[in-house]
Amino acid sequence: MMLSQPILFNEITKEQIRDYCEASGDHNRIHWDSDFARESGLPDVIAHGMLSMGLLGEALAKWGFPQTSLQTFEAKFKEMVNPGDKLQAVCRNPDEVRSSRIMRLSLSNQLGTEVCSATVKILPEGRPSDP
Amino acid sequence: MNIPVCPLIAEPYEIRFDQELVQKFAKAFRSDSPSLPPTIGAIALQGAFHIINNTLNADWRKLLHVSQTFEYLKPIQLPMTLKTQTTLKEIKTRAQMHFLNFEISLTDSKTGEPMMNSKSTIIVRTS
Repeated sequence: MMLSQPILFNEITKEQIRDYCEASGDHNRIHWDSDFARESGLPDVIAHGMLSMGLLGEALAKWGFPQTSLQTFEAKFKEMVNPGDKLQAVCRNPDEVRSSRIMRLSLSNQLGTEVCSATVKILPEGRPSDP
Repeated sequence: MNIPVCPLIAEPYEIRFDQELVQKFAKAFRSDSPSLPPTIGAIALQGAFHIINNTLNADWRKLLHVSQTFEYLKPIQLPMTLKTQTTLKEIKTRAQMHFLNFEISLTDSKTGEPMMNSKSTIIVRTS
């Protein structure tokens, strides 16, 4: 898939967030207990920030950058991700990746709000021929 | 919340990275890819959670993970057991928030070779 093409993800579900609890070992109750989340001032359970970063990792793979092609992957978590959100990943600098080996990624929700941003440094041998 | 003297170095422990773990992450990402996800090191954040629970005694409702960095030093070949060493480097307090800076190193449990580094900033609200 071309780096200039956005990656669309299926709607985030409570079941998916529970699956991420199982994978990551992060069982903070705000991620799986709706009552606890509401008592904590949240509308309902929320997704892990690391799930957002993981989806950007999925986008990287779809763009042709597997884990073995990466040097560093740095993410900032900006907004909560809730069940029902539809997320989209974009690369903000597709034309510069070949020369700079730096990718600037953004994950946004259906309202266009950026929920996670990331900077990825690519290994020299990890560059694709046609980003 | 308790404020310990930093750096605080936790007891190391081992994590097995195998296809079963990869499949769990793939399921959570709703992915059909069998390849290693670049954020698989998230499993090592349990070392930070252990410090938050047992040393800091922080209220999880007031926690916010604000940033995360992975540095990839060597390719992980599955299956592989990595030793995880978690350090709470420092705690900065400002504007009614504690900023916890964790560093986690993952090394090959057999050879001691560095494989991956992780840095996490987690905020604990004080109000």
